[in-house]
Amino acid sequence: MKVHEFEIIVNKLGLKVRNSGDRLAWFEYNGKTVVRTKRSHGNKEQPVHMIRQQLKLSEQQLAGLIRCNVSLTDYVQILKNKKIIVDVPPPDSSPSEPNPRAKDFQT
Amino acid sequence: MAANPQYLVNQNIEQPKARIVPPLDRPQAVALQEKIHRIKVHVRTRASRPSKLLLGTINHAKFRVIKAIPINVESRGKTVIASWREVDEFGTGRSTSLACDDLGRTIAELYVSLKADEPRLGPDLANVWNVLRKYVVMRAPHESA
Repeated sequence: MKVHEFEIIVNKLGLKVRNSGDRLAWFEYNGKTVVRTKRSHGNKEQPVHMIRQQLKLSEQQLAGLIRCNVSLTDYVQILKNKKIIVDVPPPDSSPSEPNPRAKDFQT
Repeated sequence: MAANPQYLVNQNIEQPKARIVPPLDRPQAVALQEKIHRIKVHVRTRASRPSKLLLGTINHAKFRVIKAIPINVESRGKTVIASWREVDEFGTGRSTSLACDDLGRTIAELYVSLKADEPRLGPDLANVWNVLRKYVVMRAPHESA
């Protein structure tokens, strides 16, 4: 993977980045850090299969991400399908059903 | 034969040796006392790079490896990639040791960032954090001093 391809992914997914020994990038969703990846500084070729694994993508999906076939929404859906992103329902939204065993304890 | 003095070597030592050493810019040939009948040549094949390693230390003063880290090593062109599959982390370099050094630095950074973000980690990174803590610990201040 070329450096500019990595940067396309960073911009498209809105990854947060920090420059350290390497350029670190991580994806946040709903305030949670979900996946992270990195590339080394300089213009050398990046190990695409390792970056792909860190981003939890297949070869096709990664190629689509670089070529604009896969959008941010698609990426979130991919992560949800893989249970990397878990939607936690807000506490108030769950219907308060009576516990069927509750009466057992009461009696 | 009148030899040039600069070619004479170790004439005072009793062991039989070649008497004349040619200068470096000429073919390297020596005069031997005996005729050579047989020469045995051992050709050693270049040792191949191991594909799996156990990393027992990382090059960061603040961290200690408490369980050897299983590393996969592979080459892509001139780059060597050392990866820790269980946590999907990798390091690169021109040699195995440089790739392992890079991986060690990455592991140290990963430890610091995951520890700082512990309450906000997604399920996958939470799992990575749990694995990481089984292999690496931070040194106590008096240890790293």
